[in-house]
Amino acid sequence: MTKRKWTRAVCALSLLAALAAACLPSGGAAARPAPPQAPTELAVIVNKSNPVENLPLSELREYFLAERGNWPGGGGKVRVVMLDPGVPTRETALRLIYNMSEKGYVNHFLGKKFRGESLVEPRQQSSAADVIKFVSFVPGAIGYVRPEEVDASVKVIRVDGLAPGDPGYKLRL
Amino acid sequence: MIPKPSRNAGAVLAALCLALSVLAPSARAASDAKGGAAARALPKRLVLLRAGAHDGSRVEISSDSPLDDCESFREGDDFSVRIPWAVSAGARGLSPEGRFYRSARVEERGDSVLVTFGLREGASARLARGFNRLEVTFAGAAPAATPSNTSEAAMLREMREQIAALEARVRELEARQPAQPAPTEAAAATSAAALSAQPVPAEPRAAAQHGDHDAEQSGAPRLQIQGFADVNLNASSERGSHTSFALGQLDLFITSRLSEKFDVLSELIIEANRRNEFTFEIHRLLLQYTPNDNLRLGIGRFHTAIGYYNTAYHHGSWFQTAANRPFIFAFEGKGGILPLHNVGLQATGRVPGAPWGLRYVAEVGNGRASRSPLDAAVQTALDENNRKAFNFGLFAKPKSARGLQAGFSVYRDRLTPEGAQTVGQTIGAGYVVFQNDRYESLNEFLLMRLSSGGRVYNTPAFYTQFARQFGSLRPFFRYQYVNVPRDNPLYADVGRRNGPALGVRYDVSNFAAFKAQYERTSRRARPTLDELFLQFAFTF
Repeated sequence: MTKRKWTRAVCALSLLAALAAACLPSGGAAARPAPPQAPTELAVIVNKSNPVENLPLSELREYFLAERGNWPGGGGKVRVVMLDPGVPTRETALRLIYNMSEKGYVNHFLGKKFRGESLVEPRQQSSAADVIKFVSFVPGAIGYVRPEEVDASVKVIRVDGLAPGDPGYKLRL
Repeated sequence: MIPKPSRNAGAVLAALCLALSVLAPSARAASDAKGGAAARALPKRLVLLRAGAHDGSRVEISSDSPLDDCESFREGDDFSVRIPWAVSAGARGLSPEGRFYRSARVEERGDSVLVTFGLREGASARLARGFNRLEVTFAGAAPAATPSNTSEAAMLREMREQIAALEARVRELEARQPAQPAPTEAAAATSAAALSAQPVPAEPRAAAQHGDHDAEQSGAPRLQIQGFADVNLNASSERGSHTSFALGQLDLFITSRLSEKFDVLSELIIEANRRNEFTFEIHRLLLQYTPNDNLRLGIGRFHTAIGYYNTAYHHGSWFQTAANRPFIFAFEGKGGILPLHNVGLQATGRVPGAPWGLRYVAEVGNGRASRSPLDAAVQTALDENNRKAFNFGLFAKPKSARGLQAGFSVYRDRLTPEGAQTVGQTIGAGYVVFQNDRYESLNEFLLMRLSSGGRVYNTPAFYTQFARQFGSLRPFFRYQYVNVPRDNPLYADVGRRNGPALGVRYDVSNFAAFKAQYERTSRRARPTLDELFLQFAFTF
């Protein structure tokens, strides 16, 4: 390739790149829809048959991130249940539990699947009532709702020894 | 004579980066302007349910978002509730007429939902606000029994009788069965989905969810396919090369859960070779058994756990920030020197009771064939000797430092090239990586030691890569180095290669990225190589 040809090729490529960058829509705006009125506190719920009463926040994160797939003491598989994307409570959970954006969350579970570490992604439900129903039915389930949405069919676990409403509770914005 | 395009290339690269950094934010700003409306259009889901009051004196409106911005008003006999920025998800259980109203309508008007009750004579209504719930309470003198009220009462009586009959039938069936199994996850999901006020039917919705392998429900495992692909435009200063568009690898990543503890994953790769012919290869096929967090056993063909990059990114170019792999992790068929694929057994899991989230990986397999143009590097069906390759690694993912991972591995094999002495191969690798939503820092070093005929040949290699996310843009820098001795019995042609790479990744959507990368590679006894890569990588 002569010097002139090389220069032409590189110029053409850079022009193409610039055009592509200018014309393509951004995924960033869609990934950060800033939903209003997200809850400021979350209650973590498990099935009533689950003997776990308290979890350190770091361990709770491991369950939600599928770094741990089984409950301690032969308690069976962990089944994480999430609210659908766009639900304000999910935004709060991504921030407080996952410390991730929606895109980071998707990438995380796609990556885990790709590496063969976990083929099971969190199940998604559209409303808190569905989350509660799911957790109340499935022994290994764990999910989150607003504290005021909890009913007697599920158990709220403490995080680092604190319950929702306690001073210093960590799942609070 | 090889031209020296580096000055031009550098200038154009700078222009390219400038253009990207100027144009991309403007594109995003434009998109944000539209996206503002899109974000605003993100609707509240609205559920209408008849309240528990049997006399029809209350209607409940609930939503998954706070309903503190609603208003009610009365026009003549109509009592209306306007819920801004909402959509209707149906009006389950809300009868079109009731004791206190002769009509009920749910309409979507622009961004709002309007619920209107045509009140009967003498009836009144008021709105009570809860957090995410509204109650319309009706009062007033109940009208005399009309034909419609009479028919409604008759219908209710009939329904009660039917319910009583069904309850009796259920009790009878329950008495016949010795014990009911515990409710399954699938049943719970179905039940929960049935409760959902989403207008989407429950079954398609459940089926659409990723990872819902309800094998138990249908009786047979379900295959899930995730595709990864990339399309490239490459330019190089290498003599004889041409600027070319190129299809990258089409990676079909297939998974299936066979049971709670068994699953299968596979990667099928279709790609074009340098003769423009398509080739097909099974790059991964692994049957996995996972009894608990401390053990996951796999058998089949897998990616050798040498270092970090090989098992983190495999063939999914969409996952990686850069347009290409560091050349120390180049695939065997593309001049790479590492045994990146192996066929055999693999065990991995957490080290019980160990701190820092310590995990292990142990592998035994055929290893890689001795290098020969005629050999397939990966010994998928036949090993060239009886000696197996072993690999053992430990790595830590501390809970207290999320995103950090550090580890090392040692790989050992014996190669038997035809007509030459056997070669003992030992590969030690170590890495420290940190990745979160904003930063990426990958650092790996490696030493390959070959011993043959009483001599030892050491090949050191490393790369370091740093990237920072700015919105959808992720500029990155990488420096890499590998130095194969001139007299290396297997890989002398690789020689010494080192140099920087600079580029940017732009996420055009959550599942597609555009990458532009400039790479400059100094080579022992060969001209310095300047390369430009433009790539669209995506998953689908």
